[in-house]
Amino acid sequence: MKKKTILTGIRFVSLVLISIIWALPLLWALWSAVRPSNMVTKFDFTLVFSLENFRYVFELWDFFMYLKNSLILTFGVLAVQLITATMGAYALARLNFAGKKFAQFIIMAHVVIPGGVLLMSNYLTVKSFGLLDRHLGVMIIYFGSSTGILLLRQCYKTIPQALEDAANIDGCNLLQSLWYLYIPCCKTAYLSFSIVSINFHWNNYLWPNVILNTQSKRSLPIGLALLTKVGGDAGPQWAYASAATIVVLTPLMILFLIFQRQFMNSFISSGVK
Amino acid sequence: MTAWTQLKRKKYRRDTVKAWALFAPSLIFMTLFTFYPFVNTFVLSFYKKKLSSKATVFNGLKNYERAFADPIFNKSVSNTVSFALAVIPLALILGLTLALLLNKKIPGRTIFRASVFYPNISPMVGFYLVWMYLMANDIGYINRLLHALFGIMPVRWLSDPDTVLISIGIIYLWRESGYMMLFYLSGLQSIDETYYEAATLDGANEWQKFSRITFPLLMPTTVYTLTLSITGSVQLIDPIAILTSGGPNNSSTMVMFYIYRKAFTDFDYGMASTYSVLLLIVLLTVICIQHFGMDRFTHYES
Repeated sequence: MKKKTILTGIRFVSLVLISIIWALPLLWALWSAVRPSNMVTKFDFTLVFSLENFRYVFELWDFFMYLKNSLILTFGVLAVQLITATMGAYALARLNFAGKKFAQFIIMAHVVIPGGVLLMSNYLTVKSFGLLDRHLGVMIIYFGSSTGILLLRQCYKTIPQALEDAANIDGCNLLQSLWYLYIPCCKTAYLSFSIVSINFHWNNYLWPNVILNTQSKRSLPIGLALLTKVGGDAGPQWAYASAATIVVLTPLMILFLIFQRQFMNSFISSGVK
Repeated sequence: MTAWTQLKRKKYRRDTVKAWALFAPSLIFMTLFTFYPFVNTFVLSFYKKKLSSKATVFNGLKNYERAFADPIFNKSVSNTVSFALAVIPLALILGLTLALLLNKKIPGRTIFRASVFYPNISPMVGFYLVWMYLMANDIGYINRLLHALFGIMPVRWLSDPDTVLISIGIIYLWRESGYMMLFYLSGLQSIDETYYEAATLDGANEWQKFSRITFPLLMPTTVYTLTLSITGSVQLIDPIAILTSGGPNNSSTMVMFYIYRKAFTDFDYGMASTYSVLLLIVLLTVICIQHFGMDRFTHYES
């Protein structure tokens, strides 16, 4: 019994140390965000606080413009993905049809092909569609989601066919069975997929940065990257960057703390970021 | 009987139309933005295509000859390989260690878990800037701490060709370990408790329990995390684009970043495609081994 207590003690202490190391960038960002901007680069731990960095973020950094664009991109992608995935998942889970094997192969191929490498080719396509520098040009490449289809299909399959037959006898058409039966029964799967999708697009940087050139169309992560250039010759404005990072992190962090288990499960079940 | 078969055949035909109509939107977007660019990358890799010249000229295997003769590409390959070889085992070991530490009940478990997982829900761009500051030469906290505690002279983390990949590796591990931990936690939870009870009765010690029960039963998880970290580390690009732009002197240029630079700085789409094809071949080999060789470990089987 005593040996076990010692082991738990060692486990606890190492977890405390690891957590502190891991949390250091966050702690430093929090610390510099609430300090006067000219004191950030000093190795100084006097307790002087100021909200000037947040004032900068909300008044001079175009926060609300970036926020609007980020919301459009994140929820625009999510809305279309939910519709296309619901339709595709229903077909694969419920219908027997010619070419089903081929449809399944397409989904698997989509899972397997790494998206990052296709960046340039997709850029050329988006350009030829005349969608450069438009929000639709950023969003459109994510509209078909194999992750979404697989997650929803898995849940649809657990719903007894008899329930849908009953709904049909009561006069439900396909849209109504989806709306009153499939979607409510698979709330967890929808939530899982939404979490992963929102998390990815809220923080997505490279692709939006390639497509969007006009300042008024850019999203929060691009705005963050631009903060390195604010100081000009004086170098990056670390205090502003910290405050802005904290502000961008906050909504997802709150969601994460409330739905921690759900977050973890959605990352596991989707296997993609 | 015939009427029944006829009815069934009619339903099958109707369902086929319905299914493809439902699948069509996904199919169209997947084709346009995954399958077409996939094929297009292979096609363009045999062509001369630049933004500056309107014409697209067939170039045979010349692009590939140029690719293999390109010293910077070769350097980016060796950077990527040494980065991946160093970082992948560490990410897996850290992920597994964290999962083992957090698997059993312990006070503050939620906080510990959150503090290693938060990079995965964070705006990475912002945190790359934070790391950029922490690793800065004279004013960075890491150098100041090292100096204050151990009297170590300032390390030029991101501006020395010898340390820049190590620095990016540290940031990568900080980001990735919590993600790996997640899969190991779920793997650990699926191991039946009775194995351990039986082992305890047989007098096994903790190490024997780990090496004979836990580790082998986590093998499917390890195959998965291994694939994730190979494809993830080989395609790493964001921290390089933000922190170093591949420098100093291309010592942090990795393949994916080099492709990106070829495409969006040099506007040489033909060569960028050639490099992409070489990268795709490696990635697809790894992914296919995991998916089709280890099929029973994935949760997609129909």
